[in-house]
Amino acid sequence: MARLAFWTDRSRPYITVTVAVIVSIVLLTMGPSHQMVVARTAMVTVLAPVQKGISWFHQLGDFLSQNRRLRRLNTELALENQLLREAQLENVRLRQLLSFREREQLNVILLAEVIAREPDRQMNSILIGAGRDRDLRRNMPVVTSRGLVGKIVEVFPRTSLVQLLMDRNCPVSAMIQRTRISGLLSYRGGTAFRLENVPWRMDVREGDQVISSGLGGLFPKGLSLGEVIEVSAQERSLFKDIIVEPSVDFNSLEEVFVIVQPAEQSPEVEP
Amino acid sequence: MKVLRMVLVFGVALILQSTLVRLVAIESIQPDLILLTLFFIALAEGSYPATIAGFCVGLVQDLYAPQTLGLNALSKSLIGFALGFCRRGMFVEGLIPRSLILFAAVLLHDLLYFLISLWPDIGAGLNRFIFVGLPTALYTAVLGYVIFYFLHRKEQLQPLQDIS
Repeated sequence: MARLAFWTDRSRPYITVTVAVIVSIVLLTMGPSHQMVVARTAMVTVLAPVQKGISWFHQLGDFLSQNRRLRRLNTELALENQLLREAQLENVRLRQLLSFREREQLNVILLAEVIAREPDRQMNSILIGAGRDRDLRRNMPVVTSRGLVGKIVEVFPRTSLVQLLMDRNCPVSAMIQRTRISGLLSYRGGTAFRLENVPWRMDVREGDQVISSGLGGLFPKGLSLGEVIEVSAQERSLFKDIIVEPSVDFNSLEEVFVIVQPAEQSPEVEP
Repeated sequence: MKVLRMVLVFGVALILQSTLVRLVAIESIQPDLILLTLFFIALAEGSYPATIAGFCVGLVQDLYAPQTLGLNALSKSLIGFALGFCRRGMFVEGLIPRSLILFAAVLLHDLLYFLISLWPDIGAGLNRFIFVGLPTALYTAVLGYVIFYFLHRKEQLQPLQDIS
């Protein structure tokens, strides 16, 4: 009995690490489950108030300069808005002349503060300070003034988890703004993205702007995604190799906007 | 009591890692406070508690990631286990050897992490390991050295304060 106790005591670390490895591998191979969502909700609910407090405290020092900057930006945007309103009216007239369907509006844009980042090497997600209390739902697009950031993957009582475009499992249907050529934009490591499925004969140049095409039905059309920084075509390849620099700096996200769309909105189909 | 203290320390490390650490980031490279904490736990408590602590804190970290549940739990429990064995070695006494072990631990953790998370794209995994894992390990080791230095000085000053 004493020998067994001695053996158990000695081999305890080995048994523990074996169990830990087996459980981890099972979790890795397992898909998302209800228990996982419950565990995630519990953890976020416990940690979020502290994270929110720390983020708020940190931002406090920034408020004065931010206020000044925002006032200036407000004036600039108001002027730009006047010009755009004129352009919109002109656009409506032209659309009516061409019998085009009226483009759907992005109804509500909701400001949310980034309260935590994924505490990990690869930043695939962020936690924002708005959740079920603000009627947020899964799959709502998240943007900044510079472009598309990602989508909501989990909604908690007062917070939401946003999957960033930097997650390899979050590809976006995209197109080149100048030539309207479509492709699929996804993260492939490093700092840049890759635009895939663009045939080698298509006209894509460095400096071209990449925007969301709206084809997936999830992200609205026309959101800025980035700029083409490299175009190459490998020999005997059917597709171009296009590297895109994202328009959003994912490392410095502080506030984001959630595009709150009506539930019945259908994917836009151009005539 | 010891467990409660451990939970508290990891909780603080986790919150700091997800909020304020980006303020000291150099070109988006941040020190890993969670591995640093695990290193201290492993040296103080040994393999068994460090493995469990690594697994638990890794699992909590995994809950933030939409896709890779279990990845941090796996890599951190293995690192906690390996670090716990260093406790038995006599080479962990000096400041530089401690920092070197910390450097190696972060490096090993990141190798595992990137290879598994980006599997089967080994090229991308190695690329991330070199451009993210290596500088992170260096940054964490330097921060660890600074902390070891202050702890070491505090230990040296302790008897003098007691005398006065």
